[in-house]
Amino acid sequence: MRKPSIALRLLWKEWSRGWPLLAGGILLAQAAMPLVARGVTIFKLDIAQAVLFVLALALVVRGATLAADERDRRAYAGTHFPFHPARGTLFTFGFHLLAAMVIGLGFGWYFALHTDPTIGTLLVLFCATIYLVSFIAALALSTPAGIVAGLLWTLIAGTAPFYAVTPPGGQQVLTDDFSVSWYSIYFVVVIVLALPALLPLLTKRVNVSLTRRIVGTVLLATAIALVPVAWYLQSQVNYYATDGTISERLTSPDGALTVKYTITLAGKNRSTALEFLDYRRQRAARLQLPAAVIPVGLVEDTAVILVTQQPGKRRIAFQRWDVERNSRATLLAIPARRDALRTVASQMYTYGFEQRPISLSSDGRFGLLILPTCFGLANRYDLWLIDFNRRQANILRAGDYSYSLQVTWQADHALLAGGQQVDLAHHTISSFSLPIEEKP
Amino acid sequence: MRRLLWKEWHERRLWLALWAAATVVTAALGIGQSGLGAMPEAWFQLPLALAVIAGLGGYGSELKGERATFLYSRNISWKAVLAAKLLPGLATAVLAPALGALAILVFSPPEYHHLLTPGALASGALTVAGFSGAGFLVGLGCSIILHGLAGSMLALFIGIAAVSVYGFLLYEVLGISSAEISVMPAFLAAPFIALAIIARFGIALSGAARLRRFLLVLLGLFLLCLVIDLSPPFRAYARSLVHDDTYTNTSLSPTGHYALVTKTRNEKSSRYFLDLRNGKRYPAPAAIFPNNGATSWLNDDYLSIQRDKNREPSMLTVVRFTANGPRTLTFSGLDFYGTRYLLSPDAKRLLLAKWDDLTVCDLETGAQRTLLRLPRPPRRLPRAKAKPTPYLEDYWWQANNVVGYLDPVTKKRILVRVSEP
Repeated sequence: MRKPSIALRLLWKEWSRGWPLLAGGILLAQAAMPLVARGVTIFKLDIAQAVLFVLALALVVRGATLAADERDRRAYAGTHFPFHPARGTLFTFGFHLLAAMVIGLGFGWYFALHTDPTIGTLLVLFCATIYLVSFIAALALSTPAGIVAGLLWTLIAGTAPFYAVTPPGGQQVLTDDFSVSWYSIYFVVVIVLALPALLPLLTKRVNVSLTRRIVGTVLLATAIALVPVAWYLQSQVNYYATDGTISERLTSPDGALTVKYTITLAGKNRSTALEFLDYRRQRAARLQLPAAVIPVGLVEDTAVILVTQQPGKRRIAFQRWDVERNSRATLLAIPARRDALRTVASQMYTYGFEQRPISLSSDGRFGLLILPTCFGLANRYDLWLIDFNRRQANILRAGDYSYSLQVTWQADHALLAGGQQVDLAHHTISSFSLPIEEKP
Repeated sequence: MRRLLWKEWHERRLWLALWAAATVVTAALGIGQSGLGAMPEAWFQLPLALAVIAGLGGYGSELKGERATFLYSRNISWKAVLAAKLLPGLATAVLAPALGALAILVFSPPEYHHLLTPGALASGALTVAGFSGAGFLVGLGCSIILHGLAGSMLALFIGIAAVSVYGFLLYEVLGISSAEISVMPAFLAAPFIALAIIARFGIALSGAARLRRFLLVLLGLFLLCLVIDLSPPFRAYARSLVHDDTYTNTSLSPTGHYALVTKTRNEKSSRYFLDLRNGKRYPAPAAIFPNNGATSWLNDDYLSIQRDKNREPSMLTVVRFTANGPRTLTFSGLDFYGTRYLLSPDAKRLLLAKWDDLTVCDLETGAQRTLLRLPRPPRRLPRAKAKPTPYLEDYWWQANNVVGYLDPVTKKRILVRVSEP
């Protein structure tokens, strides 16, 4: 009887030690699916996130321990096996990389079928990179180093995958902004970048300093690759999912002047339809813009101040819409995150339209606006003072948590809820206190 | 010393470089070290984790095999070894935030430059230096206990577990309020004390002997902290520090003339209206603080809606400020859920408008009048038979005493006089 080929024997060896994790991972994912479908949470963590975290931990440990085995066996294999020692390690690496991807698929199929096929791809690639990073780090350094590297990788690169498996809100955020596809490409790039570092580790008896150099190169390459990701993530904004459109109105206190506006947030047709209605004098004007637009306020009964942002642009423009002539004039523009106004609109939708982040003084000379910050995390906000007469805009407060405004406009000051006052002449902000203390 | 530093540099430079790079990159992106204030942003956890890891590897090379015995057989003091371990990390803790501050200045958009004052930049850098330096020291302290990076991490987890057990014991078992002061942060000293003791006396001992010393330090601190935390004088001192929990909340009217002030002391609230022009105070009626409802200012009128569990009938309370002081008006019998409030141009009447109802409230007399009430659709109709329900969408004050609305079916403009002018 002919003996099985070396490749088959190596395959059998990897299968015999790899099937428990493979089966366990897939079974865990399938067992969790009914709970995922029902949106069950454990300690405020979605069950899908918890399962993904458990799978990630298992893959980290798997990658690190397998690599340690291979490192220890290298010298022995070179003298005792009838093939190049790298061949065995390559089989180990390749088989379990495939197994990691199958585990990812075993979990990702549900999201691919029920939400977005790209989420399935993302999860497959994420599982592959977890295994890859911990395997390489452990092969070059040690088992604990592989575990630490794998955990760090899970934490850093796991933002999109962990967000993607949350209920529809998170999925829509990602799919609308193409983060899923972007992340998937990034993971493929990491796998490709890691291979030049992996091959010397597999084929040569490398000394420690060379190993460290290789690991350093990989980590550096990863860090370099992370910069655009971090940059991209920061350029994104918090987008609270809606059915795609937001309809609201801006009304004068007596209701006689109304601006109805409908913002289409999702899809290719991102636009805003505005309708100005003067019920008292029976006038109307309409406007359709291919941008996110929020009316800031009414100036007498002849004009509306609008704030607009084109999709994908990093500037926000303030425009005066003359409703008599139905013409628009740009007053000034300020830098902003991409789609910042879309975020503002969806926040107003989520938290209630009384939580307006925009306020216009009664004489129309000044405006206060809260926007997602341009420098820092997407959930921090800057307070801008807009001086329409001087055509100037200044940031008064940066990196704050507050996303709504409650303003009392006075002749030369604007008082903000929370005990701050804005000097409208000097464009400065300071704290103030009301005379509320008990008199002695 | 130079040779020791050379050795440390060669052993630790990868993690130190990563730590410094992470600090600078996160600062440059505005997501780590802050240039606007002291506290760093969330991504500072990355350089902090790298600082801890850089520290965790500290004594690893000495604990491997017989290297410590060899090292101390040379003419080198334990202080020199410790200093060589500390210096690269502490230098990184100082230099990386300084570079981070520079990166913030270079990479932040020009619109933010007027906010990046030297004081704010320095405070951000010092905070990051303090936190990451402490993280490195904690890691270094843990590195001397068990062999290898895994051993160091195990020691770190033992320390974290001790803090968790202490917190659970204090707050959950003994029932001390978490708002009260505890000496729990003293646990941070455990790795430092262990580091000092083992670096001086125990570096060449077995792993089990070093672990015993660390556990003894941890246990000693555990008991010491517990004795201090439970001692009556300390508890009295803690209570004296958290006793005065008075805070004040104010809500300003849109005109800035009036404020509603809520003062809370020991979980009891007192409320009053304040005329900001003359400092006069008026007691706030209890009716304007609904258990379930909403409140808001409309010019200088304060509106409060009280809803019951079934949403109707609700009660609207309006506090009006007149020359003679505040006047409270109450309107009831309406469902105020989803209602919009429109004030007449002379601010004497309020139009309460919702999808099926228009009601005018006279803010002078307290009278209320329903102008229009659409019939409610039958509750249960087969889906095929259900027709779109007409609803009121457009309504306004045409004049001080005239309300206008578009008929929801015909879309015709209808004007209704609410009283004589």
